[in-house]
Amino acid sequence: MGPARARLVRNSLGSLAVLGVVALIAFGLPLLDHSLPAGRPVAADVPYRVGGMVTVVPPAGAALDVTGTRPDDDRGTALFVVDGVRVVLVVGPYHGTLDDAVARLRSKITKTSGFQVTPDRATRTDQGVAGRRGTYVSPGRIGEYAVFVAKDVSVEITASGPEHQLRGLLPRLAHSLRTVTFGGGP
Amino acid sequence: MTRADRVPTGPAPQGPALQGPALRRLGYPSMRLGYPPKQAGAGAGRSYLKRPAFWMLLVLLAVGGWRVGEILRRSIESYPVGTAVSVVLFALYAIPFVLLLRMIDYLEREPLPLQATAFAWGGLVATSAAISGSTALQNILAKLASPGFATRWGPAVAGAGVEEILKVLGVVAIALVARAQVNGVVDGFVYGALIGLGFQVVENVVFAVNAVALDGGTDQVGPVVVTFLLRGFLGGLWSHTLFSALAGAGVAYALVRRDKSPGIRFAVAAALFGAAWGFHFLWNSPLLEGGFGHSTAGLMAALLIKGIPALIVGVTLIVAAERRESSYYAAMLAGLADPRVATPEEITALVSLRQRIRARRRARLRLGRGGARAVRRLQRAQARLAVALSRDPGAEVSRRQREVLVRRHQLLALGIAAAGTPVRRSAALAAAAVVVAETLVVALLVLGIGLAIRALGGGT
Repeated sequence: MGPARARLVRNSLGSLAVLGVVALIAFGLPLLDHSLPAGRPVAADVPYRVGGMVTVVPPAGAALDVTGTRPDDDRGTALFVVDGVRVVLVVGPYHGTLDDAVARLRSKITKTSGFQVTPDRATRTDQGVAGRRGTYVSPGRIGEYAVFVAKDVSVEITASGPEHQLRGLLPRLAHSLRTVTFGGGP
Repeated sequence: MTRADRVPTGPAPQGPALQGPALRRLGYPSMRLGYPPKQAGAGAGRSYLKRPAFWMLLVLLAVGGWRVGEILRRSIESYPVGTAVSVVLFALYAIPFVLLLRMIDYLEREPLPLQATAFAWGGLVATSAAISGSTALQNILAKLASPGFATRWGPAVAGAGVEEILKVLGVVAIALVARAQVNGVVDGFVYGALIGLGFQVVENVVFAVNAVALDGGTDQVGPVVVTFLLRGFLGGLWSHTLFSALAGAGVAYALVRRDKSPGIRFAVAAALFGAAWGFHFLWNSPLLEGGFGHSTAGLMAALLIKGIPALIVGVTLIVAAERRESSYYAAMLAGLADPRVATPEEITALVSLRQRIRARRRARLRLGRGGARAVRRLQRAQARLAVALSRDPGAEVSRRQREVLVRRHQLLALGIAAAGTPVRRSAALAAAAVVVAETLVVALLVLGIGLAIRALGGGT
């Protein structure tokens, strides 16, 4: 093999190695991620710490999806999956009013193409924290949302999935919303 | 004794012998540098078209560009003002880094297309691959350990691991495409820094737009400014640019220091990559995240403790690498023994950033702005001549030598015109004002960032 050909071979091998590592990271890691189960069972009727000193009792039969769950001291997210419906809680520091928080969540929802929100209504947790709750729709899917604000913390809850499954979940979801607790628990 | 005086006196203790005609002509028959000078026109022409690495690079840049373009397109659709402001702010933010790298890469500048390629690798290839890779790795951590562990340590483990590998691959790719342009540790440092800068800019734009989205979905500029302050300045000095520069220097060391055993070259490259990874890991880790006492000063102290070591290692490394490289080029000029081309004092000043600037400031005091400009042009011409001498194409050396003489005459003409005049008072006042202004800017910057932390609720 002449030197020019040897250089070409070395260059080809080096290029393939670079390409391989980039592909491994960009596509291999996501494949590995998807091959591992994300669901974890959660104990029934036991408050789950979402983060920011906020807890919630997940809807009965829910499993925790760890890929969408990131608890932290002053904020956090939790993703529960129940009967094909995704229930997402987002907790974070917040210094505004409940109306502003509702407007913020509605704005986020409508930014997602195709979703429309319906007028909201008042709701309340068992702890006595006032909140607002509403519905949003897109072709083939519907969703429920709720917002609570207390102790400089906001909790945004969205549940979305196929219409039939979500309607069946509504009673359990309503029960779960009432269990949202600020300040680490009752 | 000047550095220039020290260098050419006999062979340096290590490295393969360089026996180019230029060195022989200059009286350095066997100078050992550890790496060969760049060849004239190296990497030029279209020889790179025959290299598989070029096409690999092109494909990866196209795919990365498409993916980042898609992200930006969606951002612009949802938050046009926030996206535009963040792109402008972080583009402006990159300018001082580019200028600093140009100062570091003063003597033998890397070709602009390769500099742009390095920046694009960081901003397009590394960023787009890291977005999916890092997210996946953090998910894997959440699945194998716990969501809490992934929250606290995910950015450190995934951020440092995935991102540093992707960025250092950019230096490897550039070496595969244009090996002749990576012929010193400084080159690897510069390419690595540019890759890190590209990554930093695009990542920060993505973070800024995310901050807008999280802030309520309305197209606000406030979250962009806060992101700019926090990510751009608080962590900007010891972020991707510095980490990748360290790793890039390691790759270059492994490639060019043929005078060292493969084991040592590999060990140094691994150590520098380890340093880049380690500093990145430390910066992203939750260690000291609460600062000391939760005050603004306490938070600042914690951030400095996490960031300063990387800065010290980076500065030490580049100073040592530059000293080695500049000694080589100083020997080129000193070998001419022609004070019309470069006096020993000028050579000493040329190879030191601090002294280069000092020489310009001195000229500014004596001759005004025109004097500073004339000295800068002379220095630039001398640097080009030194590089031409190392490459040894006769016509190029003659051309560069003429350029130096022209610049010399321009400077002399200014000096004659100003002969006998005292130090310009206005220039001295302007120089003092610059120092005061610089101090004020730094003080305001630190104060503003501290207030930004407090505003975010970080220091109650």
